[in-house]
Amino acid sequence: MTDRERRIADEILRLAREDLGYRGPLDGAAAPLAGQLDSLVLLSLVVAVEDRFRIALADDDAASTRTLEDLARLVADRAAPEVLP
Amino acid sequence: MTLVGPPLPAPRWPTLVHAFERAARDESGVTFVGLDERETFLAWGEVFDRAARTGAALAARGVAPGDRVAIVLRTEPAFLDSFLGAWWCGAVPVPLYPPVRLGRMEEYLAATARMISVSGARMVISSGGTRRLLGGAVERARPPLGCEDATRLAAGRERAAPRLPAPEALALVQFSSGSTVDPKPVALTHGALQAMADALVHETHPDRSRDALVSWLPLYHDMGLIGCLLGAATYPGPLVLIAPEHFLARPALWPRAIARHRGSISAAPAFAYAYVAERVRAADLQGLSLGCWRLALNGAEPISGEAMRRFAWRLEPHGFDAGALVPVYGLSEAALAVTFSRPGRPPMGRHVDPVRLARDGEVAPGDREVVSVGRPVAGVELQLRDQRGAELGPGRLGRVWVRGPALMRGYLGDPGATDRALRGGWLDTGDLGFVLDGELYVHGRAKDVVIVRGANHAPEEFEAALTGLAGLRPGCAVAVGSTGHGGEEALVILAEQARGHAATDDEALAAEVRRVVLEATGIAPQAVHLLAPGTLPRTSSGKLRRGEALRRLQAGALAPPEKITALRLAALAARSQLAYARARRARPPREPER
Repeated sequence: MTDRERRIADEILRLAREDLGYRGPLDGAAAPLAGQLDSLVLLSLVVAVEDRFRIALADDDAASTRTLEDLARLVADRAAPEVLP
Repeated sequence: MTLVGPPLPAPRWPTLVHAFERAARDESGVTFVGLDERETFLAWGEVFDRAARTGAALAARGVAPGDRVAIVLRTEPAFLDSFLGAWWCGAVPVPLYPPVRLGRMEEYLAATARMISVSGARMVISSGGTRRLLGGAVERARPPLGCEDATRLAAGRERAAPRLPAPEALALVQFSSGSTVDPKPVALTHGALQAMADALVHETHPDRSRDALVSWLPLYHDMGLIGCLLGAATYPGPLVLIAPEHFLARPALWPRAIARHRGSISAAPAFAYAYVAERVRAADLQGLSLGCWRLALNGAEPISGEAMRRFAWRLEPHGFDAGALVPVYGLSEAALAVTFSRPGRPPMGRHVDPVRLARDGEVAPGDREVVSVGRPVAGVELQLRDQRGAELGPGRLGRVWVRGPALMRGYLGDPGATDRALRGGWLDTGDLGFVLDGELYVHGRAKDVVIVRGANHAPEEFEAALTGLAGLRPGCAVAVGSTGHGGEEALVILAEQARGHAATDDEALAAEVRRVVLEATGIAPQAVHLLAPGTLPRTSSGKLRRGEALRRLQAGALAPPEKITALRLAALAARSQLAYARARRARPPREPER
């Protein structure tokens, strides 16, 4: 991950913890999210990420996103520089 | 005993499609609320105009009356276009759930392909990225008319007049649970949907001058689809829709939309009430007035009295009336509602002994709160029966059977499953319950279904995830839905360990079970019980008995078979000889034969 992607990943973690009330551990940026977050948290995390970074993630974008690293990379590609941390 | 609902009033129309012409002239309509609370309003007249164009486009592409059309769309105007458009041209919509996004795509595509095939859908309607993603499922299921884009269908200039169906015609196929293993397509007729809409109007007494319906429920399933969308579109009255994923990300959207639109009727599964109480921030509720909310219907999963009280306590400062919380009971096979409780009562249940209930089938005072779901809705009859089918009296736990005009015609293309569910005009709900003071209390179920957050899951979904997991005995795990003290249902895994598995690794094995189930299904087990080999009860043919396993777990009687040794065999034989001797002594003198 680049520095920028790492900052985005940290921000996504913050969203999960502070805004979505996620309390469990996360195994790391390269582990599949599906094995760690249940579908409710996962679904609301996608919406929260879209909202925070002002992007729209279509279902086929999301299909190739398995890990926090993937998600951070997708956000880095799509989001306008001024909304990035 | 039989509970009988009030008589169903005379039908307002032969079918809901007949209601559209008048509804189109009403000035009310549907408002879509976005995540940022920006709103889009469509008057019912516009909704039906778009449906007429979609209907014409579908017919032009070869959709014939009676054809099934699968719809994979979120809460968006395109869903209404496609669903009503299918009705417009006499077709049968089959709404399927959209992808939950991020990961698990392979499982999703397999389940969707299976549902498209099982329903016999001739076309799939979707849009944008979802449609691109669905390619894999469409390729597998090969619907003859392919996958169409909803936006293009609604953009046509042609308008069709609605084809008015016969009440006995198939109206809707909805899946009672959607998994790769056992998707059950519930087939409902237009007559059944009309009867359900009438029963709901009878139960809720809507009034055009003051009522508005607000819903964040998914449109692909009965509570959101029949109860909210079709109810409001044919009544007709104002409907406010929020996408379920937006509600989950920002639960305050729900009470805020109710306050803004003076919403008076809104329904949700039990978890949503707990979720709002826990997650909504004080700042988001500031200044809201919720005194308008007169019916907060609570159904689709076991009802927790505690969660309802927490919700009421949280929202009462904003004018919410705790008496508006109305527990209800229903199922897809009955087109939605079976019972409604009456508003105006405090959200309190009865306290029963769960062990006596599970072990003896008897209601006795105890510490488990069970909430009444009320009496049958108009036109519906309900019976509690024992395993042999005999009617049970009050206070006895039995199977809930239901009869009424809104029952499903059957499971589409599955006469075997239909015959097991429908007998002599009665539906075996597979749920267990008891009746006290003329009201139904649902407690547990005899069918193998796990209900999490209002959604039904076949247990095989979870069990399949455990295939090949080292440390477990292959094929010896069951998934059950267990209701805890809070009254909420959660997934519990009961798994036998492989012989020779070291007990010191139990924690790691349980964590691994949790991880693989979560990864494959999106649902985290609340508890994993690792059991000694041979503990799970089986039928004589060796099939695992999930319901019995759960019953034993709840009664504290889930134990491995005792080891049989020569010494123990001798002790057992001696004990049995003693028992015979005691029985001989205790036997009353035989009466002289006549």
